[in-house]
Formats: sequence, structure tokens, C-alpha cells
Amino acid sequence: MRFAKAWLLLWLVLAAVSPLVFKELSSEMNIAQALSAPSMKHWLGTDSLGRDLFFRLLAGSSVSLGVSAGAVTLALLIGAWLGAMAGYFGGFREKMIQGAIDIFLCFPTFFLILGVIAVMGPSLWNLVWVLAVTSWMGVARLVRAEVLSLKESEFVLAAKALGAGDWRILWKHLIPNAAGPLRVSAVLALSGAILVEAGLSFLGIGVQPPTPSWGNLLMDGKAVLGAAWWVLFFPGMAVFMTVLSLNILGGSLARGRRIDT
Amino acid sequence: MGEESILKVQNLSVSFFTNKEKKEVVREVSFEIPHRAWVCLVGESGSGKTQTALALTRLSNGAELSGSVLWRGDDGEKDILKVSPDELRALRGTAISYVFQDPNGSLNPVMTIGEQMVETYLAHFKSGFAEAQKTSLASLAEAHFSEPRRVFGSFPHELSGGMKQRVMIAMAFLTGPKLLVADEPTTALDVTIERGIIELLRDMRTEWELACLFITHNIRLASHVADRIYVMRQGRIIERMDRGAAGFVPKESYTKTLFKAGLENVAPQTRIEVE
Repeated sequence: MRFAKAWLLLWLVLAAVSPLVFKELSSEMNIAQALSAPSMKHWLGTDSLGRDLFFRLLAGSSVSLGVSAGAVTLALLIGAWLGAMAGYFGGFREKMIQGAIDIFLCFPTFFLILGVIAVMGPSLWNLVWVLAVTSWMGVARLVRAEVLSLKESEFVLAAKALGAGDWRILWKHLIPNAAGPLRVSAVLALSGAILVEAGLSFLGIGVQPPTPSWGNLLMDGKAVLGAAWWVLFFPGMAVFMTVLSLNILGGSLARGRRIDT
Repeated sequence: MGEESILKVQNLSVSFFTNKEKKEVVREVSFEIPHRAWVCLVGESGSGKTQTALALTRLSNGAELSGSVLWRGDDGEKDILKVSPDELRALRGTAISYVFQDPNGSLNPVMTIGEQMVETYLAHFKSGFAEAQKTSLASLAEAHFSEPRRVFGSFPHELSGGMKQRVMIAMAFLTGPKLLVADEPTTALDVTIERGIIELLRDMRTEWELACLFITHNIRLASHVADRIYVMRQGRIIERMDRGAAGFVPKESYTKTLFKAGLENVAPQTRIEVE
């Protein structure tokens, strides 16, 4: 648990500073040193164009984590908004939103993303919103369930009796009270988003080279796996450890909240 | 008490629908609350007291209301059951405030007392944070809190049940209502605190010169504090009593039974002999 937190914190800091510090270093090519093994000069070795893998991993982290975090934030906003509306107002609005959730859940997410990216083009922003649009349903269901039970509580009646309107009750009283389970689902969604982003980039329809992301570092690695194991190994480990850490963190948050996810 | 009434309820009915079956829980009740009077609504649980109280500002969840609730404000008389949602929201809090039975559930657990009070104040008055905070602190001080600032920054779980109920009362008075509806405000609290709450309500009522609709199942408590008592049973008001020289004199046999329903009239348990 402590390790998971430390790992995530480390990457958070690295991802935040790496665009400022390592941008040059990560794209510096040196064909003479292509595919050199990990050494004191290149800690994690170099890729097929002689770029330092360590710096590419750092630069990739801000892209990978940034895209995932952006997608999850957007998904949370959409999901919390629609879920709260469905739970609070009920009736026609709830039917519409429930219907939308069911329809979105019917699509095979990965192929929907493939299709959209193929049509719209693989820019970072497209990646963010497509990931968000295909992952808000869980959040919406969660928030709807929370709001359904919270809206019957006395403090909502008390707020109403003091003259609070519907929107005020939703934003000030209901959604903040649903924040605990929301936080858990956000952390778990983040790990899912990192995996999907890595998968898409690996297939070449996510983040486009030369922009480094963990996914397309993996793709580079696959091509030279026979000659240089490190090009595939280190990005793979980065993804693996980060996703594992997020799942551990999510699990411990969930236990703290005594809910099952 | 010959003054005009601040609230006049006529033939108010509250019904719920379950499986297309109509269930009337409040049946054509009519009552009046005079200016500055303390009116008690007494009845056993399930008699429709709370539903009557909620219906006054259309707080009943999923119920059908009929009849009329005439409110005499500064700008003439209006039927609360017919006003627009915006007007209704303005009336809640500034005209009629509530104090509910369960102080533990009535406060939002994730907001501090101060945030909730300021929010309430700002929902009704166009003013800045500083003024809202000042008014809230003054209101808490009036609710017999010796350290209003500390309470202002506290979360609900840091306060005891009695303190929370005092916060609810401070909050109810914050927006300057003309009528306070107290729905069994002491039922969830123990007896010593009950007394404090009743005294606090009485003091604040005198100071603010407002009317109070006090709902309780305890007719003797009601007969101590009330100017007028309405007795409810099975959704109907079956008796109205005004305070006279001899206090309240019940005529209906049901009301007499209620007066006799105290625990002191239960025969003491016979001692079990152990050989």
C-alpha cells in the first residue's frame, strides 16, 4: 500500500515536470548508439533510433497519464451529472438516462474507440473524449444509486424546507455525499484508462509517434524484441506497476469506505 | 386571541397512491394559527401530524394535496398549495421554517455547520459572505451556544444530539420566518435536553414574535406550552381546545385517554418473590 502510493506520487511528479525538462532529451537521436543495452550512460538502454529509453519513458508518462486522467475526469463529470439527474428527478429523465447507459454499455468499447479514431483521426483530444464517452456509465450508475438513497434523507428535506432549490440540493448536498464511492471508482477507472490508452497506442491508433507514450514505446519494443528486450520490458513494467498500484490504492480506499467494488 | 390568523388551513387532505389504490392519510383537516400563538398538534404516531405539517409548504414526497393553505403575508393572502415553485421556494424559510424530529439526520454530514448556515442565508438574501457569517454567529449565540465560532466551524458529527437540534433551531430562525413548524423536536433527545430545547424555543419565539406550530405526541407537554391544542386521530382533527382559566379541558373521551396515557398511571410491577 505504502509502495503503491509512493510509486503513484513519483510518477505524478515526473509526469508533471517531464514535458518541461525531458522533452529535448527524449527526442534526441543518436543512430550510432541504437539499441544499446542498459548502462550507466543510458540507464534503461536506447531504442532503435538511439533515443534514451529512460527519458522517453518519463516523457511518455505525461502523455499516458495525462490522457487517462483527462478522460477519467471528463467521464466523472458526465457520469456524475447524468447519474445525479436520473436519481434525483426520476421519471422521464431517468428513463432516458437509463436507456442511454444501457445503449452505451452494449457497444464493444474497444472497437467503438477503434472506429471513432479511424474516422476522426488519432489526436490526443480525440483520445480523451472517446475514452470518456465510453466509460461514464459505471459512474452514472453509481451516482444514481447513491442519490436515490440520499435524496430521502432528512437533511435533504431540511434543506428543502429552508428553501433550497433542486440544483442547489444536487450540487451542494447530494454529489458531495457521494464523493467517497466516486473516488474509489475514479481511481479504478484511471487504471482502466491507462490500459486502454496503452492498448490503443500499441495498435498504432492512439498517441502517434514521434510523441512518446507508454503504449507506443511498447509498440517500438515489439519490433525489436529479439534484439533488445529492454525496449519492451521497461515500458511494460511501468504500465504494469502503475496499474497495479492504482488497483491497490482503489482497493484500500474501498475498504476504508466499507463498500465493495 | 381574537387577532386574525397568520395561517388558515381549510379542508386539507393528503393522499398517497399505492398500486392505484388511494390512501388518505390526512382527511379534510381545518385549523388556524393566530399571530404569535403557540399551537400544538397532538396525536399518536400515524395520526397524520407530520404529513399535515409537511403539506403546509408542499414538502410531502409523492403525495396528492387538496384543500387550501392560506398564508397571510405582508403582501396579502395567498394559497400555498397554488403558488408557483419560485414563490414556494421563497416562502420556505422566510415565511415558514421547520425543525424536524431527528437532529442527527437533518444536517448534511459533509458540510460544516457554518457552511450550511451561510448557504441557507445566501439562498434567501442577496448579501456577502461576511454578513451571512455575522448573522449565523449571532443566531447560534441566541441558540444558547457559548462558543458560536467553534460550532460554526464544526462538522455535524462533532456535536451531540441536543447541540444539533439547537443548531437546527438557530438555522430555522436565521432567515426570519413568521411561523415555525416544530415536528416533534424533542422526541429523539433525552428528557433533560428536552427541557432545554423547549425553553430555547420559547425564548426565541418571544424574541422574534412569531407563531409556532408544535407537533408532539405528548399532550401534557402540549398543555404546558400551548395557547391552543388540536387533537388528531386517524387523519382527522377531532378536538380543538383553547387555553382557558383552568388550562385545557378535554371533552372527547379520546383526548381524556391521551391525558391519562402517562407512564405514572401504569400499575407498578409486583415484586417477584424469590424463595
